[in-house]
Parts: sequence; C-alpha cells; structure tokens
Amino acid sequence: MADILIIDDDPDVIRLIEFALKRAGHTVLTASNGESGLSITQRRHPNLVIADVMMPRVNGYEFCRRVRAQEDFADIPILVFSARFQPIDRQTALEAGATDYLPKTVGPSDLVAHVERLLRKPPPAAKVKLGSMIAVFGLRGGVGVTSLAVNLSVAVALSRRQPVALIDMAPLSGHAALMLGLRPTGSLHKALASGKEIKAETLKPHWQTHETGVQVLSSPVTQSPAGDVPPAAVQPLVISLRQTFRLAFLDLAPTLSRTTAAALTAADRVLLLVAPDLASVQSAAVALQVLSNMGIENERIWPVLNTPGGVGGLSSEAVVNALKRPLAATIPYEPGMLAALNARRPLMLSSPKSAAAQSVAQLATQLLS
Amino acid sequence: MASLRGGLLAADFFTTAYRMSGHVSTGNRRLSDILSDRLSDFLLLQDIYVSRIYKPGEIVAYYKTGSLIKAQITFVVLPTEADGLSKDHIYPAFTPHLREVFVTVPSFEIRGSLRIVGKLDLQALLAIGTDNFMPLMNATASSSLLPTVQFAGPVILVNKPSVELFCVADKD
Repeated sequence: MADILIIDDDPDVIRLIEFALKRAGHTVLTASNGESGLSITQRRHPNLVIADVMMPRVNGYEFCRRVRAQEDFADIPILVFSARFQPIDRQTALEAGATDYLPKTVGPSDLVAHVERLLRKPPPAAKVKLGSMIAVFGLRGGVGVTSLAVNLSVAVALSRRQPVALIDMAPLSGHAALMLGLRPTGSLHKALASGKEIKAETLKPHWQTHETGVQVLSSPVTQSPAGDVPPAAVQPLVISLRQTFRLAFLDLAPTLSRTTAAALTAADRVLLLVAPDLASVQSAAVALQVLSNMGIENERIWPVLNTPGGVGGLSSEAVVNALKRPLAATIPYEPGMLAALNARRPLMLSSPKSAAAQSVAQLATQLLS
Repeated sequence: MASLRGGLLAADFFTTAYRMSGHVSTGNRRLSDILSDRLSDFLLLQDIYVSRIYKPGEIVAYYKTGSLIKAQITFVVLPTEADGLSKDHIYPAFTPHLREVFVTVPSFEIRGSLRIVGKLDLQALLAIGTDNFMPLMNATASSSLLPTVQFAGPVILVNKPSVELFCVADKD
C-alpha cells in the first residue's frame, strides 16, 4: 500500500483514478492544480505522484521541475498522465523530471498496473522520515504567540526527550530566546548574511540549546545587515528543519508579509491564536479567510483560544460562534505567566501543574499524535 | 479517459505555426461533423494550451477559452478513431478499404490511410462538399522544416482547403 498523490484539474479524472487506486489498496491524496500539488508533496511526501500536464498556472512540466529542484523530493516517482499523447510530450515530460509518461488514452486498470510497476522499483536511497512543521500565528499582536510557541516546544522536548526546534521568525527583537533565558548569539538572519545556501550545516552554528533540549534559532536583537528573512529563504529553511527535527515550531510575526505567508503555506499545522476580546476575534476571522484564500486547508488550521488577560473576556462559545470553527485548545488565564516571563523560565517549567501549562501539554500531545 | 471531461473532447489542433491542445464540447456530435458545420466559422475551445511548432512540447500560453477559426486549421490529431469519424464513416453502407495517401498542407506532410468505399474518385474526394475535414487513419504529420517533429494519432482530420498536394499509393 502506498500514498499516491493525484494532481489533475479535471474532477472526473481524479474520481476515476482515485477509485481505481483505492480499490488496489492505496491511499490517495488529491490536488486540483500544480501549486496545491507542490504544497501537498512538500508536506506529505507521497510515495508516487500522478500529474496531469494541462493545468493552469503550474502545469505538469513545471510541477516536475519544481519538485526535482528540491533535493528531498528527487526520488519521488512522478507519472505524467496527459491528454497530450505525442512522443514529443513524453520527451518533454521526461526532460522536466518525470519518471514516466502515460497518455490518457489508457484505461484505469493499465494505469494502476503502471503505478504498481513504478512503486516496485527500489528507491535509490532509504527514505528518511521527515519532521513536521507547526506555525504559531496570530494576526493581532499580544495574543501570546511567542509564549505559546516557547511553552509548546518545552512541553514536546520534555515529553519526547528528543530535539525540537523553535524558530523565532520575528524580523527584529523577537522574544523566544528571552523567554527561555537564553542570550541570542546566532540567528537565521546571521545565517542568511553569510551568503551560504540554507541547509542543516549552515544553520548549525546558529542554534542555541535550552536546558530542556529545545533548539532555538533566535531573531536578531538589533537590525540585521541581511535585512528581513526573504520569502525565498523559507523553503530551504523548512526542508532543513524537516530533515533535522521531528517537530519544529515557527514563531511568526503578527503580519501577513510574504515571508510569513510562505511559512504558513509550508507548515503542516497552523496554530491560529485568538484572545477573548473583540479585536482579536475579528483579526482571527480575517486571518481564517486569508489562510483559506492562500489555499491552506481548514484541517491544517487549529484555532487556539489563549487568555493572556484577567476578567471580562468573551466566552469560548462566543469565540467559536464568531469564528464558526471549533477550537483545538483553550488555554486559561494564568496569573503566574507574568512572573514566568520575568523569571525567564517558561510556565511549563515554573508552574507545570497550572491549568494553563496542563492545556499547553495537552495541545502538545495532540500535535505529536 | 481522454474524453472524460463531461462531454468535452481533448484534441490537438494545428495551424501553420502553432499546436493548440484543447477541449471541444461535442455533446452528442462527432468533432468532424462540428468542424464541417457551415453555420459557424469558429470552433470554441476550452482550456487551450498553445505550443509553437518548432518546440511543440513547451507550453507558451494558456487560456480558459478561445475561438479557433476553422479555415485556419490545417489538421487535427485525435486520441481515438471514433472521435474523428463522422457517423457516415462509422456506419458505411458498403465495406470500406484502406489506401495509403501522402498529403502536404502548409508546413506539414501527412502520411496515413484513407478509408474508401467503392471506386476511388480523387476529384469527388477533394471537392469541398459537406465534409470539409478528411479523416486519415493511423496517420503521422511531420513538420516540413523540422522533420523530427512529428505528430501521430489513430486519426488525423485534414482540412481539405489546406491541402496542397494529395497523392494516393498504388494498390498492392
């Protein structure tokens, strides 16, 4: 049984192939265009991709080129399946990086047989299990994004006793390192300023290790000569993180810059933070709309209600009604949070028995499962 | 699977300089009948992918819809035989036989088999009657300038007014 991604803008073709592949015992993922196909390939790393050629924007050839441009996906078999059935089309597909080519004149049973043959071919190297990427985001500042990202990373590190990454994506003076009691020495910006390609080795000198095992990539304390993290740097960063860590948290700035958008798109899960006040709920509703427009599926977005303030907040029911979405977690108000911040010791360590810390731990378990 | 898209037929349309892959809504009609329909000079295409003849694998433009002037089409390559034949050709009153033919149209030479019922009458065959497009079976079109650029299919519909030279091989 294999995970097979079908990319075709024709829903009838998708339905037919999906039916045939599922009957043959495979798990099927689908995408209606090349862009969405790329995003699913990056997140789910399917065992094989069946791609149409004639699709708007990113056509099948371009899809092959973009997939092959990434080292991680060099070995995924791509079967181009197209209504263009000339020998030159096969040649163009193979030159673009396709593993094989089939015209749409063949029937579903022949297609399945072809897929089985491609799957039987041994991969050149053993497949590496890639890690997951969690984006923590709120469109309104002050809702506790960094605090949650820090405490979640600590919770995961404590429960799994394995390295977990926390990347502070704030363009300047992010607070992740501060909350962990670390003095920022390296940053993603410094790694970018070196001019070297972003990969595990180039990032290595910039990681800082917290006592719990959380590996932190801070944001710069002062303005970096390299400027902001460019959107193009997000993809190689994500690939490197997936190769190195089982789980990585991206602490995102409360703006919808192109860099933030690239990080949100690349993430497996987006924790969208909302506080129980009208402005925050309104921002969260807007964020949900924007994320949907960016092609981020609903199931990838987990709204989290965080209560950074005291009394008078909206009820969780009111927030759910306003967002028209269930909450993945509700983190109650914790009076000791401020003391934890000032002591530079995350709540998960300073008050692990508190209701808020317990909620964070529960959310971490959900993410790990 | 080529014709799956709800009543839409996928085909490759050729002019002297371009290859256009697209879908045509045929309903319950054959493409050759739609092409020969004199009530419209245009053919409405959907999901059109345009390639230049000298690099026919590369897609240079995409449009959701477009109109193709029927008179400018030199030939059409179809994925299945049945899609290209008019109903008259599919249910002939007499058993047809095949004759090898060689046809030149602007920028292309086409080799294939012609289905002939009864005696071959070239003048009648090439006369522009109700059928503007002539089906050649198991045909291959080669670019005259780049002979390695070839397009083949179970049926190629050749636009008769585009024909420059039409040759029929002798009977075996």
